[in-house]
Amino acid sequence: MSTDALLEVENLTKRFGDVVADDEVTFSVREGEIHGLLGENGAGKSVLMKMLYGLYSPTSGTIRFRGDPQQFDSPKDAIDTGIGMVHQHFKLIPRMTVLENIVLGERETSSPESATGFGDRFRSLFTRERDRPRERVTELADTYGLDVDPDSKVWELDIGEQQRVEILKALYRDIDLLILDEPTAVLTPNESQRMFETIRQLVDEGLTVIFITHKLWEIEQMTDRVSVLRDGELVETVETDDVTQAELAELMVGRDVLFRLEKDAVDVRAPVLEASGLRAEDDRDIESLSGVDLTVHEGEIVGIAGVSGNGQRELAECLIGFRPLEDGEIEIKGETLTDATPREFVDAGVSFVPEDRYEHGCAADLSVMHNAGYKTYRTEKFESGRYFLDYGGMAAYASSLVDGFDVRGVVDVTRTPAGELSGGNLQKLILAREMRRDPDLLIANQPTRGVDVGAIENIRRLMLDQQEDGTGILLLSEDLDELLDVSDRILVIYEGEFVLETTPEETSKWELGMYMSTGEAPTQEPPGEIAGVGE
Amino acid sequence: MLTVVAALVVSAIPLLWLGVNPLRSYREIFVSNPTNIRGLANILVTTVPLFLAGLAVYLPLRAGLWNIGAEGQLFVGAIVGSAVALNLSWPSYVLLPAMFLFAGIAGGLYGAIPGYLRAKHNVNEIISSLMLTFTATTFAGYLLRGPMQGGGGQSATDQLPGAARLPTVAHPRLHVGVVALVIFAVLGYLLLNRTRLGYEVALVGSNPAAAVQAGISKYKTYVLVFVIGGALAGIAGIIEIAGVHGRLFEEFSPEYGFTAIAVALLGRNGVFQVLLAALFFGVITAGGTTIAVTQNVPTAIINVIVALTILFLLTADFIRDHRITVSYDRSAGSDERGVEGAS
Repeated sequence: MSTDALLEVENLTKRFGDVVADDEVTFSVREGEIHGLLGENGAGKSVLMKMLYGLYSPTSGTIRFRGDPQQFDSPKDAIDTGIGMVHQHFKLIPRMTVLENIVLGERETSSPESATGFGDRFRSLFTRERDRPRERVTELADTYGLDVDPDSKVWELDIGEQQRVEILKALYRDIDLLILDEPTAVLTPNESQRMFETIRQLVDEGLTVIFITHKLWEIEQMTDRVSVLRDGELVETVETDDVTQAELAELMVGRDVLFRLEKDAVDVRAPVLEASGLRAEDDRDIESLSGVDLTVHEGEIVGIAGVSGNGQRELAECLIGFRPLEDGEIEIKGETLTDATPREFVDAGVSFVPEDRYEHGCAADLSVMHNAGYKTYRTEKFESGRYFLDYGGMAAYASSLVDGFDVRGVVDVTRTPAGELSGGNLQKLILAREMRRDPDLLIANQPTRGVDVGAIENIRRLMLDQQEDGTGILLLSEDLDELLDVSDRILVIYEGEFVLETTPEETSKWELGMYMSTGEAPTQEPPGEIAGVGE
Repeated sequence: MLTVVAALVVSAIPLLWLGVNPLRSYREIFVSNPTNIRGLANILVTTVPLFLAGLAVYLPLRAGLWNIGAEGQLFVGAIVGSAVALNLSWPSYVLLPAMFLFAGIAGGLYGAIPGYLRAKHNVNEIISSLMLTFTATTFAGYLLRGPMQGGGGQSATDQLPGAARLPTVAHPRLHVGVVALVIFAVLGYLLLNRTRLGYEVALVGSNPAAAVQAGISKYKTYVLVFVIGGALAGIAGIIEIAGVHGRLFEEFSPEYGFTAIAVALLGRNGVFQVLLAALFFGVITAGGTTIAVTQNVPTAIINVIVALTILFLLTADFIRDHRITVSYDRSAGSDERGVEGAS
């Protein structure tokens, strides 16, 4: 590892009006290292990285790259300097193919020597030159094990595949420093391992990586050094080998974090959800749910483990009436709701935390109040005559959710748009909305994805409290620690079918991982301990 | 404010070219005209159809839909309202409400078509509503040369009976229809900001997927905003006939339904903003007509000034709202290039 500083950041400050997102942040990244960046939601990580990537201009402070001060007016400047970034929320055009997305914004084809005049350009449209980008992409994909079909449309890909496209897109632009904003938040453990190998390969090839994450064990496993942000201030930069996870957690949240949740035994009672023979198609009209039977009882948490894209999303959406069933039956508390509308599911006491917070979980440009109330606005609580809605009551309700669930960043519930909240705080708002109505059944798809350690603890605690109140919970998660921690039963979904039903006591992460990735029972003995939170 | 000034500076060029002192024109439009009773009456009377048709565009816009067909709905309202007035010899206090009622229903039903097609069959509402506008205006042309043609050989109806005319107050041009400005501003505000439906409209407009998950019927919302919008445009049509012209003829609307799109865009932050935008256009249009007479400016130039002003205001609004995303526009630009290259 070289000790040359590739990137130096000095007293970098970003203010939005009265809010200081980053306050005099100073740190440096050495050439060839994997530099971790750790911090709670809203600690200023994303804003900091957006400044490095030219999306925001700093209020004050300097950025030096290879010793030279830089001023980025746009991401293009940053890319030209050699900084690439993969965002937490992907910046892809769904309608276009992988290849088109990757070359998007490139002014030259990858063979600049041949494309000089207009004539050459024009001719190159009809010759093999057009295949150059394709060859390059395929080559990059092979080298780094980023396996995607360059000709599939982006909307057809699952989140894991889309992320690979994002990384390819950055690599395609010959960068020296790659910023990965919570790359594993959307990946399964096995995919994450592959991602880690990719990152190591990148670093071996001379790249420098800034790795943003919430997961402490990833910092431990992956990074050479780590900088910790808290409330917009850089707390410390430390050599990863010199600290424990507990110490990192304390640096990050400023208090001790409880890792293992105490889980009381809960009596299992009558079924709230009984579904049988569910079949459904995904957005491409391909069958992705192939006849599953599922029962969730009152006060029971059923965990669904699976690699992203194996039918979890379709399952969750069928169970709230959002996606049409091809076949099968659904009963909620004994009432048949097969082919019912989402409204009937809502009225039957089904709550839903969608996988994608921005696309399905909120109305981003409407106020926190609008977002807090949209599952309850029809109840008598906000009734005001036959047609009118009690907005005052709704604002008060929203405030109580914001206070009760510790949603930060809300200035005025009737004015702050939900889309302005950070990812974790928005998730808390969504959970608040779904849980405060005291549902009989809660379907939570990846509720802790991309959320910081402190909030994860909160969210899991909330689910357990809800369970004690008798709510049946269906938890779809790729975080095996989470499933093993909170579930009463675990089902593994593979290619649209359940391949294993077990309990946390009877199984292990290793076994679940094998079922998730192969759909079959493990054929070999488990290796040694797999790294995991708190282990 | 700056954008208005900029628009006026650019608009001065054609005026100077015609040898007219722009400052004098502007003083007439913004100061003299609004401060005398005749000018004020003209402004208010022009603002009424602009505001109602503006709401007809604005309401669907809140639900994320484009009603480009306010002009057509306005025509349908005017036709049906006039037909009621010409065929029923009821006393004024029955006839006028009946005219308004049927004009509203007709406009609403006409608006329901693109709303229904969009909700049920995902037909692009921009195209269907625009096509229906041409259908309505052309159909009006047929009616006025055929079944509804009055005496005198013009393509117009007979004068409406006196009972079908809106009474005037304070000035012969100031009909009582101007109270519609207040009534519908209040009703529109209440609808969007106080009712359940308004809440559903906002949610559907912001994120249809989330709204559906919340149990809101996208279908119902889409049809309703178009029906209410169409009804408002229909009422605008009959107010214009019963309050201003006294009979239906082909060019009774100087494309209020299209200017309404600009009104709705300019006022897209709320119902009262729509009212202000309509008033603004009312001032320019009415003032423009005045200087056309007093300063001998061709009416075409007035239209140029109005168009320039719209252009400036909308562009300025766009730039102000999209400042941060301007950097993305670059990639959008190369997106087009990529498509060209691929085709």
